[in-house]
Amino acid sequence: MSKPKSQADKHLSKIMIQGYMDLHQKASNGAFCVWIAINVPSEIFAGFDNMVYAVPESHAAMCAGKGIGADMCEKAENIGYSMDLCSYARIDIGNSTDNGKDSPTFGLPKPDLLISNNNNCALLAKWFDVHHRQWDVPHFIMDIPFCYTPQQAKDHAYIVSQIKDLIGYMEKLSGQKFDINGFKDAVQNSWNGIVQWKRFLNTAKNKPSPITAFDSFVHMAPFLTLRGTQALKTHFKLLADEADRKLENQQYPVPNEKYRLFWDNIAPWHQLRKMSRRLAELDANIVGASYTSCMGTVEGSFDLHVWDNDDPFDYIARTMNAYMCPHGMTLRHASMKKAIDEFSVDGVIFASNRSCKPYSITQLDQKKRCSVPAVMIEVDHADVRKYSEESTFIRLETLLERIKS
Amino acid sequence: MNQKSLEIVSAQKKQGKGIIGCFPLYPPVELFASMNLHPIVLWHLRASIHSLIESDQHIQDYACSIARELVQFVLSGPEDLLDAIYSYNACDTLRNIPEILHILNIPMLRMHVPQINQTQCQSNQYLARELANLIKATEDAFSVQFSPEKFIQSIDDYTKMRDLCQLAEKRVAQGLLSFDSFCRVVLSGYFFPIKEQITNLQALTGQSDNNISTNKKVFLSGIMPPPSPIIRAIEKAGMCVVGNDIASLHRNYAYSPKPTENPGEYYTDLFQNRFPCTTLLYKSDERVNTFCHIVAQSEAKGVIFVGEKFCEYEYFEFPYMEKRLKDMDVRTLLLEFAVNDAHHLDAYITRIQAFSEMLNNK
Repeated sequence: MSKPKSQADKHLSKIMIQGYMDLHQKASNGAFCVWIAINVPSEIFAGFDNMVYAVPESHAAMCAGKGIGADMCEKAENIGYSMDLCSYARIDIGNSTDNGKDSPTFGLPKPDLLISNNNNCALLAKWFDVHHRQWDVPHFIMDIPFCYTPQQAKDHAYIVSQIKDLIGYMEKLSGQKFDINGFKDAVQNSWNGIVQWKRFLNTAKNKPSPITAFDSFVHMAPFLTLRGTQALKTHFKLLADEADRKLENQQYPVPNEKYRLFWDNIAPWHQLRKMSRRLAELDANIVGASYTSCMGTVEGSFDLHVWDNDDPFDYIARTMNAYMCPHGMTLRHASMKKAIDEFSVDGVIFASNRSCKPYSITQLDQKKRCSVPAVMIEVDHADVRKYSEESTFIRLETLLERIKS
Repeated sequence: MNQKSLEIVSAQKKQGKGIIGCFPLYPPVELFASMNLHPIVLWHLRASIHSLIESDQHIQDYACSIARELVQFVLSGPEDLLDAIYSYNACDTLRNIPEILHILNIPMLRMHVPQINQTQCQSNQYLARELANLIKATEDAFSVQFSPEKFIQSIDDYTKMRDLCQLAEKRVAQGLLSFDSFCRVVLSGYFFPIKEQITNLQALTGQSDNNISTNKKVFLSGIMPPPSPIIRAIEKAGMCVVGNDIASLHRNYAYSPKPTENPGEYYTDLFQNRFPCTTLLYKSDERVNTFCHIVAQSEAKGVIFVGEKFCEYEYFEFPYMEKRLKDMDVRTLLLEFAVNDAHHLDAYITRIQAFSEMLNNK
């Protein structure tokens, strides 16, 4: 039986449904619709009067979470896309073959512009090219240098210049004038939201923890689809307050929490419920995840990069390397090491993800460097056909045995 | 890289030249060679790999064979062969490799090649600065000095080499030279000093292989050419390779910029105007048209896509390219190659024979 929905869970459903309804409605009423990769700074769209954005990766994750990921992947495979390609991409391409017929959100409105970037994963540019060619929609690629070391000034300046070029390009395409105040307000809103998000995540430092990483996986969606809005802060504050209350009331998702684990990779969307339940039965709690800890941070640490209420271009360019994939192994290791200490982590689960090479390549080396016991499991974030629950749990149970011993 | 290539690289090293192992395919070889270094491109390493034991310690088996063989070669290949590694941003797999190779404790030279569409943004200044930084890092690592005069000479050599590759490619298209011989010489050039490459290509352009029928014209596309036995099977099945869009072949030698003493200017020209490749994101629009154009120009009746398993850049494009070719009434065959496929090639050969028969009926 699934756990009853909390106030924050219900609020999440409400704002996500509302968000997708608004998106469809505004787009059908003539709003300029942009599709973006997840770390394209969507705050800039708030600088335009009538612009909406959709995030295919988030939509694909939702489809996978609802259990229809594999079916949608098959639609893409049926028109020639290899099963080896990223399952988010296959879901999205599959979804576009029949205008979102099976999507829980009725798909996404057709875009007027596609914006990808290549630092989280370069294949996104190729994925968006599929739509660019199919629908003859312009495609803007943001070129964000990969970070082996903390972002360098030359790269920061290069990113700022691209953001400005992008704004000029959107003005030309949409016929709308950009207003920097709208952009600045949106950055402020995102900042207000991300501060609350961090508050929520940090409640997991308590033993036992009032939350699990699975809660953070589910609730991260607004950060992708509602960035730059006041609704972001409202939701994340509700979430953090709820976690605080659980702590006060000693309501723990894993009441006999014996093993505190850390997750490295994208969430296994098709397994959230099953995996959290089975781990709880083993008294194990995944108390943190690199995937959700890196939002709003910069390289080498999960601490927030502080918005100083000054230059939104500077802040946005600096945080375009948030997320784990744009960072080299050394920086990733530094972030994880700190989190392991701060969250009193007993063991790390490296989820080797066939659909996400940028996240997964180097995990073998990272595992060797890990200061606590670690295990590698095989997953695919959105294609359940590439996942074996039993093999995974044999490994997870072995990890728990190692920790115990 | 075979034994002969290895001997040549070792000989260069004995002569005091620093050896730079480069990846992926389009490093600034002219620049390195002009600084009295010997750049080798770490591609096509299968011949020198006996296992993937070392690589498997570092990267998963769902990485492409290029990455796995590269890691294996560098970490378990001839000791002290490489004096530095050079890499630039490419795909999601390869960008993570430099840090894995870091355990070698040799200098890691890097450059970020801009991937933005020039009609939307300007990146020339950024690239010029990247090159200036690379030159400085190379000078520091090897105690060498950049010389504009030597750079011009080096450009001249590499231009000559590329021209010869194109000449040889034409002879293949005319049925005068086998594609197999052509590939062997061009690809071994990745490890040879440029003068030696030129000599070998000159010999190749004078060579004649008989009995290659040009009745059934096919075109090859992919990151790497297929293994030698497959190329031989293609030719044995009566097909003539009249053109290619292989990353390590045509995409690499099809364009030479105008000589200039300024590396920033030279490489800006090269990256802007080079033949489109799936790995160069900003070339996406140009790639489709260029690809269709050269296939049409070659009068090929069929295109064989040589898929490198797990190469996302290539696989995202195949369905669209197949569609475009269908519109042009050109038949297609997709062959997928992975690690160890060289041990069981018969199934491929059957498919090639069937494809050849299909072209008979066109």
